[in-house]
Amino acid sequence: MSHSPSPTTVDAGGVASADYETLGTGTPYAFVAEFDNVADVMRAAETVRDAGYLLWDVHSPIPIHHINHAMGMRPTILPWITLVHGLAGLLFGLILTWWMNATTVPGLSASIQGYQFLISGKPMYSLPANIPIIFETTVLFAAFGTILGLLGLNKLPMLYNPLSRSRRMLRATADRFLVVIEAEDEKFELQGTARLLRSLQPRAMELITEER
Amino acid sequence: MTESDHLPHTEHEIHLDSPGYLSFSRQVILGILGTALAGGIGAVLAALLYTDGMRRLMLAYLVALAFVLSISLGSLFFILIQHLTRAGWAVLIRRPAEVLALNVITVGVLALPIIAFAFSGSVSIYPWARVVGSDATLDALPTEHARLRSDSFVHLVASHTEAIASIPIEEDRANSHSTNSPDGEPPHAIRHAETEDQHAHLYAHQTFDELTASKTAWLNPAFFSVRLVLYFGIWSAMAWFFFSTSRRQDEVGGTKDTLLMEQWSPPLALAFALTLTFAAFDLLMSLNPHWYSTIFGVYYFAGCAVGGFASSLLVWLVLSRIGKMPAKLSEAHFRDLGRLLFAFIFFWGYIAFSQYMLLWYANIPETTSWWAVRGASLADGYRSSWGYVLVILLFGHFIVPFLGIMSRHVKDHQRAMMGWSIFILFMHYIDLYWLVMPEFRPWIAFGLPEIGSLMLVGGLYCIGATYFATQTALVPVGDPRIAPSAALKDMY
Repeated sequence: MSHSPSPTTVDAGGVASADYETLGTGTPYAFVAEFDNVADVMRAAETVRDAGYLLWDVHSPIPIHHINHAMGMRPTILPWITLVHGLAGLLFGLILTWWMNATTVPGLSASIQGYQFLISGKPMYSLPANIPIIFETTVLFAAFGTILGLLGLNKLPMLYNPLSRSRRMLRATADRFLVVIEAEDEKFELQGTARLLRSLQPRAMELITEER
Repeated sequence: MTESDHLPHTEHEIHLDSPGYLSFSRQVILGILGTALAGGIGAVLAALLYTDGMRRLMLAYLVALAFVLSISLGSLFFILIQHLTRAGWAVLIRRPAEVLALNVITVGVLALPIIAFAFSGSVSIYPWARVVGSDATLDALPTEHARLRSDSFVHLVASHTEAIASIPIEEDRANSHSTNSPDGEPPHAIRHAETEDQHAHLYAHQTFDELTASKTAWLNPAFFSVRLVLYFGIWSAMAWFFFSTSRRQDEVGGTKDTLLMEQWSPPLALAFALTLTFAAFDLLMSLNPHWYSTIFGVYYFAGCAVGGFASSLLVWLVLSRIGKMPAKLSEAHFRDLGRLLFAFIFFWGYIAFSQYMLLWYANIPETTSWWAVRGASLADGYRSSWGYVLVILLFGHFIVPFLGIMSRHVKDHQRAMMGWSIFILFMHYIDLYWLVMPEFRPWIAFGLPEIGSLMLVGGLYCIGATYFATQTALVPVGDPRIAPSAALKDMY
């Protein structure tokens, strides 16, 4: 590893804290603890959850079932976003088909004018014929709402993240599990957080800093 | 340490030492048997007393039979897709479905009267069966036609027609006064012509005519019976294969039987799809031999899936509640079964609407008459009270349960899901009732013959199910995936 151990930090209780590496010389951004198996990272996640941290995450190369429980994540509101978008699509489809098939507004520009067209003696606005279109717009809007809501809730796309400077983080896509506690968290306190992570017996710990 | 070590085994203990053989007390069996007998006696009595009662009884019996058959076929479908997709999660809840699927044998016995219906000549519910033996030549048609015209059914329609025509129609009065014809014809005649009852025409397919005669190569009593035997033979063999293999695995364990069932599931799924489609054509669609809809088999299948999932859910919930189940279902099982039910409720609505919309759009009399008979027409002279059933189906079988089960909180709530399962099974019965009974007459017929035959067929079906259920453990204890399945938790 290219990082040098921090030689200076010693906490108030006199316990040496020089057992983690520090990346950069700026203000602390996040603490990273590295694990090499699912069981350890699950236990670590439970401990961090119980310690009351909120701004933290687990990085894993594989999906871990029930990690959401171990992390104490609340149920997502994504279904509601999907529902609202689906209903919007329903309304859009209804208005679209009605406007285009059953209205003529005198003096309106031809580009947005509806066009009354009698098809096989059916009423101008006949719901059954339009249900497939309304169904499709409902599904389309719901799908868009879901994917955009998913990106939004995850704050994606995120083009820069200080974590990406750490070489250790690269292994989160290969063979390591990483618990990351951000310095923004109200509970974050350099010595205390370091002690907590150390008690989890990670393979390695790293403090990542950023230049403001 | 592996990932699965984290799964909580303790909450969902399976007591393998007591494999949970079900037993029913004598009172329960006698109670069901009594219900069945009472229903049978009531239905037959009603059939003897009512006008045209035998015909009505036969149709009502067909509804009840199609209903119990759909539960067995839906369960068979559930087993097939489990093995097709190598679904480990559902191992724990597979056995009740296997029992219900095997109960297709009982349905096969109950289907014997249908063969009798096909051979009952001029009183048969199947119009194509109304010409017997070698007389089924086109030369014989006029006399046959005349004889059927005097048949009690047509009488009934005609008397209903007169009854309707004698009712003055208020909203048309103002209209007809203003549209006095130039040759001085009185407005009354116009009004009468406008509201002429068209129901007798709608039932033209009930007489054995040239069109029906052209289809007798397929639709004749002998071939029909052979096909029925074939369908029930294939279903019974299929269900027995899954039941007996799974039960053998209970004793010997290992993966051999799991793999065997998985290997056979693709060809069996194909056979299932074909037999179900043709059975739906034969049993239900051929009540109107003039009409055809290629999606009809899928429509019946959608109902089967809904019925199968609802009954699997209900059986589990009821047996768990009375403490007969040796294993506890996790929330995830309920939620997943609820999801399948939810999906197939929508699938049913999708297919039902697809069938309706294409025929409605094309608007060919040959195909729309089937819908008009079932109350879908609002045109003068075509309206009938079957339209109310159609609206009940639209809301009760589709919109209301779709919105009702959408939320995961409902799917988690066992008591709520029990209520929804019962409601959906009831609606599924109404669906089949609406498919069959409008063939009887152009206004709703629901009474003793319908309730009685449902009690009879449903009761005997339950007797069969209780018998098969006592022949096996209630969970497939020998399946190697039983422990992970019991420990199933939600992914998120």
